[in-house]
Amino acid sequence: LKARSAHRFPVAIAVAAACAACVACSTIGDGGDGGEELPNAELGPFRELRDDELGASHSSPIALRDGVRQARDVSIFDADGDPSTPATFAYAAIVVLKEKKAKPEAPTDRIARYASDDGRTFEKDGLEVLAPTQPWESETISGPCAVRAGGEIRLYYASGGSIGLATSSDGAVFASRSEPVVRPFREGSTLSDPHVVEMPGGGQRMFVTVTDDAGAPSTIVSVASADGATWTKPESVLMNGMELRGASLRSPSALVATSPTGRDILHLYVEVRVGDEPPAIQLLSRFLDEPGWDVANAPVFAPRLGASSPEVRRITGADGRPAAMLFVSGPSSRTDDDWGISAAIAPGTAVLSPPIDRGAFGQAGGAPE
Amino acid sequence: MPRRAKKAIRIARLALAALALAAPSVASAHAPGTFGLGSRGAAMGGAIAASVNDFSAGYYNPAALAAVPGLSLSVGYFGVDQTLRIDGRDTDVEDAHGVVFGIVAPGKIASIPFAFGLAAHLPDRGLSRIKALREGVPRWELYDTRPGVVFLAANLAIQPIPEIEIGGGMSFLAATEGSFRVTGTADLAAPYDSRLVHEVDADLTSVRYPQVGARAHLGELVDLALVYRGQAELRLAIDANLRGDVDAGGIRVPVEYSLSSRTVAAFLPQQVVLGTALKPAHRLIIEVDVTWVEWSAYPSPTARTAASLDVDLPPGLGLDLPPDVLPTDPLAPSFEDRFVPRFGVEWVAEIGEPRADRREGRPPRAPVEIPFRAGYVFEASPVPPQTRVTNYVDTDRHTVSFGTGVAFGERPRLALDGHLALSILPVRVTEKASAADFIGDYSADGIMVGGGGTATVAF
Repeated sequence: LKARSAHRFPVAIAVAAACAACVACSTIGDGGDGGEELPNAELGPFRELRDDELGASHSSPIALRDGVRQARDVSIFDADGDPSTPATFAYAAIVVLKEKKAKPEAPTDRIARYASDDGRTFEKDGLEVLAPTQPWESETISGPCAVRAGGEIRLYYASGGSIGLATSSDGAVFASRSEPVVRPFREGSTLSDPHVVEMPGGGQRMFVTVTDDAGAPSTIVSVASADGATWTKPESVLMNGMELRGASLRSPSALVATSPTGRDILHLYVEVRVGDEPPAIQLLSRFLDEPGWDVANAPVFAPRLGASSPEVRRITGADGRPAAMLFVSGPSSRTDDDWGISAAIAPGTAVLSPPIDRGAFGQAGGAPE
Repeated sequence: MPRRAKKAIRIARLALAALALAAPSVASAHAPGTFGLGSRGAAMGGAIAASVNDFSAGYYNPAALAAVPGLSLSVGYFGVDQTLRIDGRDTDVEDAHGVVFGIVAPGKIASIPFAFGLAAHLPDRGLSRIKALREGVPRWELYDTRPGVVFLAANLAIQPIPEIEIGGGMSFLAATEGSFRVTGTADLAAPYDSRLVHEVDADLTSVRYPQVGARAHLGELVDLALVYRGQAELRLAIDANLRGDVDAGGIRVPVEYSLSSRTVAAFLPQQVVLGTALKPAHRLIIEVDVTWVEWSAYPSPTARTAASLDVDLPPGLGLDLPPDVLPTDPLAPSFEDRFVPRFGVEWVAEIGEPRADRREGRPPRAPVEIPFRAGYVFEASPVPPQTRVTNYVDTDRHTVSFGTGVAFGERPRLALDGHLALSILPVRVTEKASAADFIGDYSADGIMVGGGGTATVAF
């Protein structure tokens, strides 16, 4: 018996080792990395669009640059009312360049509309749609915010320290009201940068920048309305933490989203200035059933030379996944000689469909510059 | 020119920062702890601390090695398909599979039975796995990298009296560590003409942790087991160094940039197992084990990094260097200790007339035996609600398992065992405390389907 065992022992080891080696070698396969389909609230941080994500006539990350005027404070508007199509208008405050390099802070005196067929590559020759004509308005007009309400298009704007409203049936010809719809809440302050958002359950809320003549940092205040014309109940945007204490907040851009677990959240993108630092875009959010605004733990967009007047639009990427596009005013991140409306996207892994370029002549498929 | 130099330095810093991010996340424990070792143990839900009778005692209870009747060799294979979802979408977590093998060599010293055992698990996709994740990136922390660690256990056991067995030994985990070094001159005007030399130095390393066990036979009906497994950490250090000159149009700027990253590449929490095996009928075993797992010691999988930049700027260059990146200070994961209950049952059908084993004290065995096994495990998630920055995705886990096989022959006796296991990870909802969280709310759930087989030759 011992002899038989001794004979079989090495044979068994050899068989076992051979089996192990064969199994091991034949089963090496592709491994997942656990990084697919990860959750993302599509709130930021944003990355600038690349050259291949914008039309050939545009230089990344500038999505809108008027050929002869300077455009700022963009408001993105669904051109055909169909969220599944990318056709987009951008309403922007403009100023005619009197010099080759106009100062960025030069007051804007018109509002123009720019079209885009892909939602991000805008034509360079916008259509002027509104200028100051009412007695209460000043020569300066800025901060357009376009919203669709029934069969008309409403354009909110800032002028003379108040918020005005103009309406249009076609988005090209607007008639402004003879009185502002929101006046300063107290003497010595001015309102600017209106942004209107539809609230779940009905009604609208407008966020505006409030600036005191006394030189205090600007703040954000919201007012509510049932019809979009009468605005009441001003509320200050108060944050839960101390993160932005002392900072100047302006140019709000609001959107409402529902989390995968069903919580309605109001997001507010604002321009933040701290001291002499270039402005950055920060996110404030609050659950609709809770008071107080939470501040994101990092700016969502902070290019080296700064960014102003955020505007955020939710989109669906080419891969069917949700994403968010951010448009900001300011110098290109590549050079401070190049001013325009820059575009960025979140999450960074978002995939966009090929760009559609109207070219330098404002026609789809036109020749690039 | 200054802007070019600044850009080059920035690129270098980004490159080395990316290297630091290449520090792996924690590979929590190993496949035996997650999916079992050997088909018998896996089929019984791992509830075999008091009834283990093969090479897998090297993991489940080293004391039981002393009761293995003769020299035995085992080899097997297992695979687990993991479908782990977030918001209903598969996150493509790597499946787990690998080879298991073991040896048990019993003998006697001064008439006291003793045994030596080796048990091992080898993942068949490589000996180690590295993964780079920022702190807030969602990841299935306990299942993504866990199977990627080599496990090897070597144990000794004795049976001082027939009613008691005692054993212990060391287990080994393997991983890699390394350093990265770049020297030379970076030419800004013609990057492809840069003369850079890089060195990568990587080692396969291991750590040891102790394990001890005891088993007591209380008459014919009850066996008790107590097992301790020590804590193990595979620390990983990556040191990156860039030293050289940046050539900016003829002006050479000496630059030295250092970055260090320290993290734990693999972690096994210490555990204590209390097992009770009941034998109410012939060839029937019912076992209940409870394992205490010290998950609260789980370290952050995020690397701690520190960096410094030393540039010898020529006078009058007017370059404004960016400040050093602040050292990272990851949040503690704050996992919670857990008790894991395991239930297992085995009944062995006998074919043929049982015959007495030639070795003293061994019960008679039938020429052919066909075991039927089943098990259940409930593992409550040790991961606290992920309401803040971190996103260690995890849920509770229910595992049911089944197995069967056949054993025949006398000496040598060949046993072939197989098992199937199904793990259900019920939906767990994560709601963030901050409405401005970049990841936001999500739900997670999953299914794991596994199986395997083990062949054992006993002499």
